[in-house]
Amino acid sequence: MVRFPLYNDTIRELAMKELARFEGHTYLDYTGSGVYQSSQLKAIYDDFDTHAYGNAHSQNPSADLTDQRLREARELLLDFFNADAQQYSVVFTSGATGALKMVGEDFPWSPRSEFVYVRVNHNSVLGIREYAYAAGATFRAVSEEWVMQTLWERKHSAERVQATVASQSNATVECLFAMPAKDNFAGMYYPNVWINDIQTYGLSDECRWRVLVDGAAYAPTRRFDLTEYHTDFLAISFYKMFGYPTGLGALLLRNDDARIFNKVYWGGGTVVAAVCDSRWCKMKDNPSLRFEDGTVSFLSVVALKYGLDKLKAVGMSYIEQHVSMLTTYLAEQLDALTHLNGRPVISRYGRWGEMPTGGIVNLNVMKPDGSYVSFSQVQQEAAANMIHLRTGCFCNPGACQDYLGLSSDDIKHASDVRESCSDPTNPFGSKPLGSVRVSLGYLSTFEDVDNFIQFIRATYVM
Amino acid sequence: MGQPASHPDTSDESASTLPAGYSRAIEDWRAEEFGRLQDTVYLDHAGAALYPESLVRNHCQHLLSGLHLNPHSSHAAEQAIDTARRQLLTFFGAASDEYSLVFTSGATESLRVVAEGFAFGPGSVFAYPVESHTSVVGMRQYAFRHGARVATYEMDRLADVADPSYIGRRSIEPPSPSPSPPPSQCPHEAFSSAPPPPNLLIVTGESNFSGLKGDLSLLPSLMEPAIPHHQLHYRVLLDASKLAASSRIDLSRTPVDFMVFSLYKVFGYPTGLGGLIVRHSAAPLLSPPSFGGGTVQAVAATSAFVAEKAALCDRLEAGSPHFLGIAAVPMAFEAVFRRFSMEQLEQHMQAVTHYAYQRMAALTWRQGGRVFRIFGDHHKEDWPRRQGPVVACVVLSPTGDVLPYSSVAGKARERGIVFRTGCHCNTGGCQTHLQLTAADLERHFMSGHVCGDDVDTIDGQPTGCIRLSFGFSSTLADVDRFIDFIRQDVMNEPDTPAPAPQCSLRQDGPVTPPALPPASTPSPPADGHHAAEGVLSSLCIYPIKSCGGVSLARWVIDLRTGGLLLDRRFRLERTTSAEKMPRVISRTSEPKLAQLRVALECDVDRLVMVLSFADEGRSESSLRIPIALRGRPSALLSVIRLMVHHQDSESGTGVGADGEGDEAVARWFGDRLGYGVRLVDSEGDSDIGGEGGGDGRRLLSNYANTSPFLLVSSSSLDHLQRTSGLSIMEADRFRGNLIVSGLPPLIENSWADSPDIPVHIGNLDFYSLGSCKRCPSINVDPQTGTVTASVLQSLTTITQGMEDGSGRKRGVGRFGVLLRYGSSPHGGGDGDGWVEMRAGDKVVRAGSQVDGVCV
Repeated sequence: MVRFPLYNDTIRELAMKELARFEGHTYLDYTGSGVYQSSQLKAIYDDFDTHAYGNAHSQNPSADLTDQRLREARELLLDFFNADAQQYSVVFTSGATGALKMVGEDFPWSPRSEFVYVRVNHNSVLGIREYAYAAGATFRAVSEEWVMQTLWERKHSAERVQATVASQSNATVECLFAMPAKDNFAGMYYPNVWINDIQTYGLSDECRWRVLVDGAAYAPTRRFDLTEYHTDFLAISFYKMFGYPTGLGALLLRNDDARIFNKVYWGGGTVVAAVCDSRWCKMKDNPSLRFEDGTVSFLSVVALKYGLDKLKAVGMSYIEQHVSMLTTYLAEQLDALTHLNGRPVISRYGRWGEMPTGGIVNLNVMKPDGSYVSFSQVQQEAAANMIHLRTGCFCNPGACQDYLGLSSDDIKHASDVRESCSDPTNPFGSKPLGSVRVSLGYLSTFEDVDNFIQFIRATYVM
Repeated sequence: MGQPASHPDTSDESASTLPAGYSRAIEDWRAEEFGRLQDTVYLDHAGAALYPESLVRNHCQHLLSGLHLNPHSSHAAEQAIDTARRQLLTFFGAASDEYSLVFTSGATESLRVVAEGFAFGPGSVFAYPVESHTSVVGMRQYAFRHGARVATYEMDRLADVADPSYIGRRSIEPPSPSPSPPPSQCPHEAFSSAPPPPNLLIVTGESNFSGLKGDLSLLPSLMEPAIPHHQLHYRVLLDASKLAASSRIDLSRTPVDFMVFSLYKVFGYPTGLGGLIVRHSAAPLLSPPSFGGGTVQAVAATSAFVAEKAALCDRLEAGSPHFLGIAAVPMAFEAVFRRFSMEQLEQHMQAVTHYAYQRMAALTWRQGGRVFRIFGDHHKEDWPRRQGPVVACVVLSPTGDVLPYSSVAGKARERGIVFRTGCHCNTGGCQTHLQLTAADLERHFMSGHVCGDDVDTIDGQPTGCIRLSFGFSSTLADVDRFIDFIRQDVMNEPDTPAPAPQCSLRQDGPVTPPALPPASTPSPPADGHHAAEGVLSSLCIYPIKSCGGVSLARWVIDLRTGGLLLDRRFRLERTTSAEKMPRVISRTSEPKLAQLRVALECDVDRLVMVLSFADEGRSESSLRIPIALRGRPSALLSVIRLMVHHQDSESGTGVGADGEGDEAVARWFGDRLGYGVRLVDSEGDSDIGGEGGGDGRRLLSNYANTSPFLLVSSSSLDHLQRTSGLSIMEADRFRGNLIVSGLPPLIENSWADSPDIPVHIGNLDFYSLGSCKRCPSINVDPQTGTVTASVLQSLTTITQGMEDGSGRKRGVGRFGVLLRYGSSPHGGGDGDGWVEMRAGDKVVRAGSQVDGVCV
């Protein structure tokens, strides 16, 4: 503990009090889903029990109450992400996937547009390429190195600076760059400074470049500051942050970006007026209202404040330190494990030479002969020990490909015999098609981490 | 009276005092599970249903007692989702080998998934009803994009959509220079033998605007490939967002290809969760162009390779599902259907809706015009088949103009009454029912109107309507509160005093409703030249002549008789002949009748008159006589049920002998009076109308459709008490029907002289039939039966003294004024309807033009 001077019992006491339902369990799947505190849920249901919330599209007292709560929630979120209400709007969606999909569908693609995304993105980001492709645009998956290289070049070719800045403001072609702020595979943070750089220098001359950040995995462990990194779009899911509610996420977007969107579908409250039997329709100007098709999950929005309160009570900077400390501790302990023959027990995935700090340790377990224990076996044995973790590819095929050394052909071949990316069937025998993800969150404790290490030691070290 | 047990409802429907299908048990449920509403009258169930509180409590308990992990990580969570899926499929009668359920964030998302993935192609027809939610209309964007023909149809012309020429006429212009290129199509393909691209028909199960239901029985013929080949056939999408909340949907009987719904519209909880039910034979027509977490089997980040999961749900559900919300589905079923079946709820909602419709349709301005213009098919014979629990309307002014809905809504808001105004995201509904053209809507927009704002009329044209929508927790009392609100705040009738004042004033002193200035306030000088204004403080009816009265805060004028419903409908006759005794028993001949108390109450489903003698108390010894209301609209029964319900809590004891049958009545009276008595129902024998009563009432056999009301002023009573020194001069002694306070003392005597000037009570007009000449029955103490001869004498002295001064001939004492209801002077117009009156109604009489009338 000496190495972790910041550690104190606050979280442990909180977890004991608020996570009584996890008694006897070790929860290590925070990236799959966050956890809600008992008092958080009770406060929410007290609220539901005492207030009559109506559909916010109506104009009446119960609807006004809902409306007021929606407004408050938007303000709370803008505040939480340090966004200026003049510049950003909050659009509620059914989750981060819904938010990303919205960007994909409504982005003003043209045949000259380009969609560039970092390889380690989640499936939901990759889905955007379908929209780009349908509109005749091109797409490209790039590595971190490529982005750094390209940005370095564009920043440092002095004669280009003026030109690119000018072209960025004059370009008529819209291009999109998508990155996770933190990937959901290895829990690596990505340089947020890319956002501002890409907005300023672009990735090519022909386009006006906009940046989409998938913040789903990032938001639970670190505060994203929209004033410092003024990304065009930020997608988040709330259940990842504080467990409840599910089925609700948000797209935070810059108001000037909202104006360029080509909204395809409209429904529910998004239109100012539409005529049924002619093609005339008029969308609402306010981005929040314009992009929320149908009735927002208003009871879920009411619940947001109670979750945000829980994060704020601990403090996001403390959460970041706490998670970072536990992750590092976990990785160090696992790295130190060896079989009796001296070979390592754990093959850990992540950036070369960097200790993980983002709450995720991604690994496969190895036998003394160096072959892999299948991830599904680890999952089953962990489950038998009441340890909850996630195995497979975590819907992040790029990361799987890169870290596990799989080719596109491997994936196609495997898909012929497997049902999903977490299907344990392995046609390749020795080559793992997925891995084991241990993920931590703001209510994780040293006990949780030690339980896992103990489990690995007892089950696999020989 | 005795009905065959097998047909309790049809043999004598008037015996039922609740609308058919209405459930009292739901009123109890409402109190238990929806307490958070407090005084709010929630009439926006189509906006969002209200969840029973146990649903959220149980859900909370459930979430606190288990782990509930992301189903992508947890098998148990996956199973919980499957359970919910199966439960919903079963609920909608969808066999799981024929249908799959895809969870979405709501009906809007479901529609979008279909629109986005549907295999539209050039030549496809996409048809939707004019009266559609904008979420349906928005689907056309995708249809246009793929070169499909887009057409609208009128909901009542669903059968015509198979006709290509109808569709041709109803087509919408494709987008002018289209921004989206039509999909490239190979010329060979166009002429190949491949089947033509499918057509998609949207059927609105129930309109969220008017509650009109689509005729699902037509669907099979529209779905089958048509026998005449030139007919169109369709894949059908049932938009059940509204219908699912109000009706049982059984896909095994009315199969469709797709159905969409939102759970919060059905149960109120959880929000953000809905479904798309897909028939397996239609599944190949859907291809999701995008994908998210969980929907793909395998995907390569660096190439275009994607393999979608085979199972439909897995293929279409993007991202992590709303799994904590889905966990609430079994609890929602438990909270609602453990208590009531969907059929029961449906009937209950229909009953409340039709009651609301009938009451709203019955409201008229004093000047004669209707207060509401109501849209839809509520008035049709087969309304239950055509209408869901929605009443869409506009409020009209006395001159027939549409009143701005926002002013109505604003006032309602202050009263805690919640309903929706505008077009409810259903512009087609607005267009259809308000007869607006597309050009109107565009013009409205250009004038600055946006949906949801307060601009409710432009150039005198309404831009939206008022929608009352009912749900499983609605009760008749909600409707009453709404009607009260309309009468008070829109029609500007005065407030009702809270408690029902009593006919008997012995304990309570002069009638002084709380809303009025205290009785000691000096009245304005009695002056026939000036308008007199008072307040109706209570309504009294005397169901049995000469017997005790029933005081009511609200009651109805029965237009068949022109008088207050039930007033003096029954009389008691001797069956044992006795010398010198009249056949009809009156208070003068039998003072004991004054002790006979009459109360009205409701059994489970009928109106009952409860008779008891004051010295026995109301108990097992009382006699209960069911009252039939033949020939009146069935809604009247539910109207009075509530009025009776509010009448007197003491009466709701429900004990006592059931007095059906003449023998029981004879025995009961015989035991108490010592001679044979029968109770004669004037509606049972036709000749009763012309008979003289024993209590000094002049009966008006010459007014075929009118019977008198006796108005008694409490300030006149005060005056009498003071001048006579007799404190026993009380209102119940004078057996008035309309007890009015706040008038200048005795001013009503002057009204008798100018029968052409109406007396307004509330919105109703009455005309004088002269003042009431009193007879010795007023000598009988209404409580004890004690006879005090001085009462009539004093009255005669006092009133004669006054009349002397005005040169009138001497005669009997007068007190009170007889009125007839004069809103339909020609009579017979609304022969079997009713009109409501209520305590608190303003009583106004315009200044008399007749000079020389003294008081």
